[in-house]
Amino acid sequence: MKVLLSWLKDFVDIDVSVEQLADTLTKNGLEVGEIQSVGEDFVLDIEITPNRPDCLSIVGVARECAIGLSKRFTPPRLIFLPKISSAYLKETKFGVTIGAQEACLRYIGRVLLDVEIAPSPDFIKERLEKIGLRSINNVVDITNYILIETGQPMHAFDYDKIEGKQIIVRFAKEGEQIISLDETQRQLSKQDLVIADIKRPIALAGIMGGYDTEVTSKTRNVVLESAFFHPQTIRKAAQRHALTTEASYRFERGVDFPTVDTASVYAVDLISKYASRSSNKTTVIIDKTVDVIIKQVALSSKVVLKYEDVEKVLGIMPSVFWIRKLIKNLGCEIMSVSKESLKIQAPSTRSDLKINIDYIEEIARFYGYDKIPSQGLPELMVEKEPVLKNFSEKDFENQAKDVFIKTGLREVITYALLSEDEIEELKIKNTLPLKNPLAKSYSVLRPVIFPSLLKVAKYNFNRGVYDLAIFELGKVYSSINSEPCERKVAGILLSGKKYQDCFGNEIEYNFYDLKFAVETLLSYFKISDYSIKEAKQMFFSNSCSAEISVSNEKSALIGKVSGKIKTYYDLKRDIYIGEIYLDTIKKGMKNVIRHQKITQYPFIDRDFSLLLPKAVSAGEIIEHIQGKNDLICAVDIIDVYEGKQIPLDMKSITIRIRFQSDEKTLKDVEVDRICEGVKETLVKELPCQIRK
Amino acid sequence: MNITDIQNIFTEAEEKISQASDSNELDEIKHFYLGRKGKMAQVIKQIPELPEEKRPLAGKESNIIKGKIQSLLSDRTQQLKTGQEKTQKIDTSLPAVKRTLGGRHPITIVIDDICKIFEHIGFTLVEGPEIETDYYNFKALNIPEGHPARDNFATFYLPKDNMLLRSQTSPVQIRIMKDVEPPLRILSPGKVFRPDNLDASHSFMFHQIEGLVVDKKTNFTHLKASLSYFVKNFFGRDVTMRFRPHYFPFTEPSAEVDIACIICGGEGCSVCSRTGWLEILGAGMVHPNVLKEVGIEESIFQGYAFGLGIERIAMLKYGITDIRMFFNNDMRFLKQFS
Ligand SMILES: [Zn+2]
Repeated sequence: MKVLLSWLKDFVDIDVSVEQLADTLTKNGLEVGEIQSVGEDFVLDIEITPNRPDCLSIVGVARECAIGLSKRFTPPRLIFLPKISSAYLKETKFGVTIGAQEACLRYIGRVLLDVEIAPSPDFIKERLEKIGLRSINNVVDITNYILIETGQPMHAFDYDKIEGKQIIVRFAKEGEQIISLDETQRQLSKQDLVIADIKRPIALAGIMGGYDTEVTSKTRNVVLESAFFHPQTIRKAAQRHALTTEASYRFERGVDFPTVDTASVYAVDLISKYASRSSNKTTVIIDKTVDVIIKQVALSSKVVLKYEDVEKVLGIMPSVFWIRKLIKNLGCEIMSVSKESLKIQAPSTRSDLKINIDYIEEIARFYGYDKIPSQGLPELMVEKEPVLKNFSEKDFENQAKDVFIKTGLREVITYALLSEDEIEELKIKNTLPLKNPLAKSYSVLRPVIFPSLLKVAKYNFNRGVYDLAIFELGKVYSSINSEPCERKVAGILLSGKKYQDCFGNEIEYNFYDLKFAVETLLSYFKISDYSIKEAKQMFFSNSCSAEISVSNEKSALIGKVSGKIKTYYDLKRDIYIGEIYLDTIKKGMKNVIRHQKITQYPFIDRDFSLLLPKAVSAGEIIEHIQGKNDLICAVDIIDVYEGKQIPLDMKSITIRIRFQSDEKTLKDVEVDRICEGVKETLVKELPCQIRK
Repeated sequence: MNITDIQNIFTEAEEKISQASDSNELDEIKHFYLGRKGKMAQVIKQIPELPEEKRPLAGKESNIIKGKIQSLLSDRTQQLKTGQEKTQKIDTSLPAVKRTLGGRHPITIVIDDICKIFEHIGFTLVEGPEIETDYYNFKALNIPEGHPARDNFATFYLPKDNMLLRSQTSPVQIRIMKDVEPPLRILSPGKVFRPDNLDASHSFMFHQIEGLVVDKKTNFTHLKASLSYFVKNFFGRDVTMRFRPHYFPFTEPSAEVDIACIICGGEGCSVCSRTGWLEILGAGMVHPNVLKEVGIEESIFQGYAFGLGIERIAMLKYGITDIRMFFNNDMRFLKQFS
């Protein structure tokens, strides 16, 4: 809220610099942003927290200044309306009916006759303009002036334009429209509260008046509205119409029930002085006042504030004398006093003061947060840690990240939302769309992590960065039996060069680098019980994709991005991509490591080549050899060859078997015998032959 | 045969390898020493004939020598390939081998830094789901129905009733307090979502860290102490900070913590909106309604909570002016951090 320094001075004697004042207000909880100088005066931009609607007024802020600066607060003077001789009255049939009683708790309509619409007096015009409000005419300016000073919004209608001279507060009917003061035609809905006459809506209640009943230079008689509208009703309507006004802002946060009337009286007083047509220009004729009260807003209940609670929460204890003075200065009434406590009644303006802690906060605010000492961290509670550890996978995730980083991958963090179009393209079902997306391009929670990574590739390719080795630890989301679910995954993307030196050696990333990253993770977590098979996934090219299972549970998908997907994302380079389901890894990991003795006896290697159909995978051969004999300690594929001297649908695979014992030095004959046995079974079990 | 014999074989092999002038020669040497009937194989064959106590050492030594010869052979092969003699000087100014290096994302780095500081003073890391319910994200946090934070403009909702993407990390507090009895000292980093259009300072996805302490005697002075400890450790001993009253539904009294603007030093600039201060976190004593809701006896226990936005802190720390940089993942940007 923009606050004019000189306006504050109507209610409190400020004798410090504007900077000091701003500092005091900020320290006490009204944060002052920019200070703007306007002529001799200053405008303070103050952030008012939503619990303090009373401070959306000069009077409210002035009270805070007075307490912060230890100055006297001068409350607004009480105004009594002059009695008007009945000779003037026209006995109009003006009436107010509140139809929507849950949305309007009080409505005061005052019919003022013979007003003279003219420019505002200088002091009103200047004050409004200094805080950025446009001066319109005396009557409208007076309502705005009072809104700023008291926080009570008001509206003046041209009385003669009100059909049937009746004000009806009701919800709009389907299909009704209004042209608001900003000359915008607005379609109304049944949830919009309106002020209507007998024919049509004449104002969007609490937000903006109607164009048709606007006060103009020709206006002679006005109806002055002052009301209490339900905050939620106004807030929702303001949102629907994307229209926030000084009035709606205050109604949304709640206005003060008694001020509905005092502000209206204040307005009559100012209109009498500055907009009366009568000869002596000091009174205006109030033809009729209608004050409809549906329900009185109750005061907060009385609170017993115990001094010991103050000390318990704040760790400090100001003097009892100081506390009592503060409570009174806040506008509260001290109902009774005991040795240990105070019984307090909050004023109607401070509906936020409801319970004990609310008063403790007031004490802390004005005692000064800076003056409350900062000392003595409590003792540690180490015994809680094991229980709480169950609530976090951060350790595990950090280890996984370390593994990826060590294998040369760089971490990325991407948006977890995709476009509907992408989802359609990916043909993934049971996704989780947002009910209220911000934009089409971010409207569905990602069911897989691939698209996010591909978009990182695209972003970098477009900027000439082609060598990518990235990973992300994040979540993917789906709807399982219409229950929203989230799952932690790691995504990996590789593309471009892995290695380059100045001697012309260059190595591109390939599928096996991707597999390396996954296997390194598995081996880091001591997972040996895993298998690899071909995967059918529309994301991957048919010739290059695999699914890795840990303990027979799908744990990772890896492969080369298919041409179709590359075309969709407009990517022209080879990309290898993987997704690892971290929950299955966590389940499969072995925490306990037992030391194994390293054998002192030398190993013997035997190499031989097999000729076999292309369809037989290396994995199958390794599986067939492993475990055939206890002395076999490793089986490696050291060469795969297709081409010259090999039939078209065949390949040659060279295998190295390492033999080692932890009991003795092996003899060649022994090893040769085992190796021959292995070859024999291979030939028997698989469609292969030994190459000579 | 003894150990010296084995070592002599190595010396001999070393000599031959260094003098080899092409790969054929190297192949021959390899065959001679490491072949199936090569010198090393013969040596190994003799081991069983050695006295019992000498066998292990001889076995071990043979393995080592085999490895050494192998690596000499491959070194020499490499040398010959690049046409460089071992004795010839190399051009050390040539560019190094290029390999992509791994590293953490700046957001992760900042999260880890912050967590480490709080872990030192006894906080334990916990986490909660990103898909939350209205209850944990709002109701239990003293945010009543109709509160602006619940608007469609402020929270992403899911098709299932009362389900949403958490708009803050505070629901984790509720989950932990419901499951684990106090005393508690927890810290919870994570992603949060709010329907803000992307621009230089807004993002619909960002990260927060939430902290919570519940104990019998935890009061406002402790809140100040732990947050001061954090600020001094993260931004430096000399940083000026202030606590100022604020409002949050789930804490009371509430505070915001500012540090003197690290850009202008407090003089006032565009980053600090000319106030000289930068807001870095929100905090407060846990509201009694929240304790009541989770079934913690509020006459016995009390505590404090705090929350901070990681992106904002990271932007201040690294001098980044556009929040979108974090999520574009430009490699040239990411490489600057690790
Ligand atoms: Zn600054």
